[in-house]
Amino acid sequence: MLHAETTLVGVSTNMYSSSLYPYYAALDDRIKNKSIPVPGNWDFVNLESVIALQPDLVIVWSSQNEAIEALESHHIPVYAVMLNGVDDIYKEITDFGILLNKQERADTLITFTKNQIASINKTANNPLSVYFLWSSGMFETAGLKSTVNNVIVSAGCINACQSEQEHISINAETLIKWNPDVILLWSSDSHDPTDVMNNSSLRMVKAVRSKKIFELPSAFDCDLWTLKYQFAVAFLHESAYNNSYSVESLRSKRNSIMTFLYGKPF
Amino acid sequence: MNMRKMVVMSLYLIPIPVIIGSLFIGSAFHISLADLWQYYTVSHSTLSESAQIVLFDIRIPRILLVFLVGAVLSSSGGAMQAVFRNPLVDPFILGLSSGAAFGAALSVSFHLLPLIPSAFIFGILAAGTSYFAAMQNKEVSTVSLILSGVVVNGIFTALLTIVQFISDPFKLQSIVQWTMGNFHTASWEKIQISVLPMAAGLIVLLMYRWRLNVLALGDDEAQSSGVHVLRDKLILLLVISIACSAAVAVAGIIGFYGLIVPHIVRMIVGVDNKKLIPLCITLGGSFLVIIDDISRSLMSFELPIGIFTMLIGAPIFLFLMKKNHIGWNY
Repeated sequence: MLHAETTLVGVSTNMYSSSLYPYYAALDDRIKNKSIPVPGNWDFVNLESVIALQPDLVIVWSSQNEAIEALESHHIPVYAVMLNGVDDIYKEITDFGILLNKQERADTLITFTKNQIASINKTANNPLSVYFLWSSGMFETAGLKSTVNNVIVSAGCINACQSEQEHISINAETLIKWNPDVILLWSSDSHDPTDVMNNSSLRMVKAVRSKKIFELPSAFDCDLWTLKYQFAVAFLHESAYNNSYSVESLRSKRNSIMTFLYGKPF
Repeated sequence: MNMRKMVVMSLYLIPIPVIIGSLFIGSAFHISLADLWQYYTVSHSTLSESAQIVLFDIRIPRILLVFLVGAVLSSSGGAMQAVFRNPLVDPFILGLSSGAAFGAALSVSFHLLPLIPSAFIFGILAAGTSYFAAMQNKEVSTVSLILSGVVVNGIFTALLTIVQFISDPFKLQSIVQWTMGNFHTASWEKIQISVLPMAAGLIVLLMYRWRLNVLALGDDEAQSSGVHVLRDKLILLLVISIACSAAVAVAGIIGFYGLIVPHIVRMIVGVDNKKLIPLCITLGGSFLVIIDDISRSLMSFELPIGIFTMLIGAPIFLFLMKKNHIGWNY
């Protein structure tokens, strides 16, 4: 996004093995050819491989305390990331802009995203309540301190889960009590809206009765920990409030966002 | 009838009040005994449709599943301790839990098989591997069996770690949560899938409770009493492995439950397996239902049941252990 891809000397292991590979392969020939080294992932870093790459900076999750200490003990600067909300995403982009001398591009990206979010009409008198469903299970959801909550609120809805927790496990009884207007599924190959529709214990839930159950189009397009969360916001708003929205209009929206962020719609 | 006998008799009947009482416990919906009474005697409309779903489609299958799993784990633990003549043994000693966890992880990460069959198959596979690895000259010594169980457990734990390592954070979260045990996805479907192996296991254990007393004397004594030791042990281990694999497949791993409950029951009724096995079923099932009641009524969100079995079960066990002597003198 920052037009700084040539500075990359190593990427995360999951880049080559997950469903995200085709997208990143389209962005960088080194990823396409699997020639860029993969010295670790979110919970394991091969110190020797990282040192061999002689990076000027390593970006890791801030929870990897041991890896951070080990890297810093070898005088390798570390940028530790923890994304608990969209403000953290904006801060991350701003910081990377400064570190990579791409401040202007970082500002442009943030402004574009904020404008996209602001353009969404949130004038609904009775905002719909949304239950978000992670791919880890039917009763795994996100509370108020999460990027999911940012997406729901930005789309003009309210989170059915009012817990402060970032991730929370509930049960069917609680979901029936919450009785959400909309159920939004994280993109996954392990479930889809019909699983919710076919769960007989949820048949009285408003979202099930009105068939307002939607799955986010793809983990790449709706990555909630990047500026692409804006497409998740647009998708949720259109799905929840616009009964006559078309797949074509959403695709067009997606393509315009991706083109701005990456220079191509994929 | 003296006081002790009355206590024991009441423990046989404890599932009835526990199961009925649990129907009215929940954090989201308040349903009372009066509501249920009116539902059956006055009109079905006295309970809202949502309340009916909560009661009949959510609470009842959950309570029944919890009871069955608790009964299977505790009675299997009691039987295993008698067969192995070792108070530290639990139903997972043959590597069943780590095999099942590996099967579940494979399913979550690669969708090779649905989760429940996958956990079940690998649970059986692990227990079977332990048994046959320990077999020498058509004989299986207790020490060899426990050691091979430890090794197989280690192998499947290593395999599980590999799957966890290559899984993305969402799948990793599912795997970790599964390994801590949970009932928040309990359903009639899960009961349908697991009731046959679990009920069959409980029936066989009840039938074998007399013979367990003989097996607990040791192989030589049991043999001289006319018991076919190898055959009986094989039958018991097979039945326990199948029943516990089914329990683990639908509920995840509830650690230490099958170790603690038999000891608690032994403190009450002594080492006689004729009494121990039925009480492990009634008390083990009921105790897990009570623990689950607490876990689902304390807060609106769900914590893995394995956390509560340890936080609630372990202090009770330690208290009883301080007050009584561990009943372990065959």
